[in-house]
Amino acid sequence: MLQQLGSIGKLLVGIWMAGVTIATFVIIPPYQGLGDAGRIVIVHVPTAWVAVIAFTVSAVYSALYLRRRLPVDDAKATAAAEGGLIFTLLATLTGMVFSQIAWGVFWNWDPRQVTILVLLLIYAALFALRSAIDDLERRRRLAAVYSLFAFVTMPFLMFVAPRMAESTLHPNCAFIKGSDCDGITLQVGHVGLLGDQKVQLLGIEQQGDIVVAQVKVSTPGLASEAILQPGYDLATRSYTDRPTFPGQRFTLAIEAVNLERGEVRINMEAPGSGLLANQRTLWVFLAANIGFTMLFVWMFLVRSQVLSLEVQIAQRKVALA
Amino acid sequence: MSESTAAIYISMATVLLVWVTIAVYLVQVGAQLRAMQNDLKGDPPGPVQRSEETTSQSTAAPESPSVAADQWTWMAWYGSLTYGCTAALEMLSSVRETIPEQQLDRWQNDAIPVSGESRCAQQYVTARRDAVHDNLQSTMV
Repeated sequence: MLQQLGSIGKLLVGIWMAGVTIATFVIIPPYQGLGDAGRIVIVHVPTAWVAVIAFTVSAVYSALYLRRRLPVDDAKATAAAEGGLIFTLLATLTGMVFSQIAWGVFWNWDPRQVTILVLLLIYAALFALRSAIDDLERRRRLAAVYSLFAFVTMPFLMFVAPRMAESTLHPNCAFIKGSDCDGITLQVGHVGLLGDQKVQLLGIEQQGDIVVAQVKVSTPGLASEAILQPGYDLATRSYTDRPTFPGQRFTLAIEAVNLERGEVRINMEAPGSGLLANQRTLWVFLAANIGFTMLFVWMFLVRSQVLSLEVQIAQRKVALA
Repeated sequence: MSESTAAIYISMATVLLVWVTIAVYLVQVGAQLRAMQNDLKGDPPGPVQRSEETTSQSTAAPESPSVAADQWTWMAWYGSLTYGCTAALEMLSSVRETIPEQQLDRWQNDAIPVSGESRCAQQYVTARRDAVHDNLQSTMV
């Protein structure tokens, strides 16, 4: 009975994910500024999200192991950490493809890229630790303690550190309309950083209600340099012109102007802004999150069973010997 | 190949990479589980002495797996995924051949100037036109 239910469940997960795949390419609209390549987000974000769930499950079972000392808890903690590692790796790889299309490079040391890499290394070290200790009891105990410490870093690396960065190219704060990243305020002559772009405010010109700023932008190493002229309407308090960064899909916009102090707040708008404002995209995105979570549960159940059986077989072999 | 067509192929390749990784993991772990279950089932109850040769044979070559349900599941999954990707590709290519990209983006409320395309292509065009319209509206807000 239970086996039948499991089979039906697997079949449903398969159909659900097939539906999500079709919907990703057929139902949701192309994103402004990214076109069809933005569809990667539908798998990229859920894989990262499931990694968070997986590491949380791993930490819970690690704590349970330290409390109850049952090998089955250790097996479940390991299975969840393994799933988390796979999903983190997938999130990194899909993010790199997204980065290549959106920013023109696979890897540009964006704060979020760095933190997910660090997380990947921390959890990879958990498996290195496990394989380095022969004594079973000691291995389980140390792995459980390490897993709890690793979990403490996870929220910081996934949620806090990327948001603490002064500015990031990662469009994490551009997905939901109204939650744009804060820009930077520059006075005439001053230099600042927007993402990995060096920006310098050369001057401000006012023509009636329209203010036009002259901003010199350059990439690290001065691979490209340009002078952009974003515009701002003082009457409507909104931008009039948003030029595109050279060689990229990002645009430069003025968000606020203080003429008395000779300063403007400028921001880099990432493609994908208002992504989830579209109802179709939102529903497919949610369905993808649910589907990936179900997939993780499937992976977790099977893997933890394998690890538990390994223990049983080892015990049986010892008994037989 | 236009930039847009390349982008959709890259997206599909990325999605497939994710599926293949997860599927390979599940197949491998599932096979391991079945082998172990068979191994355990094959053992006699209680601490009966067995030769090492028998034990290793049992681990290395498990009996035929009793997992017809699992196999059906995988076949159904692969089938639906293959169908989904093929159908999406067919729709996209037929739409792109018929209608220029710029025109698709400009559509708002006009009648669909499609004739002789497959039903799937027409559905896709309708969905895409509505979606572009939605997108325009949300951007304007």
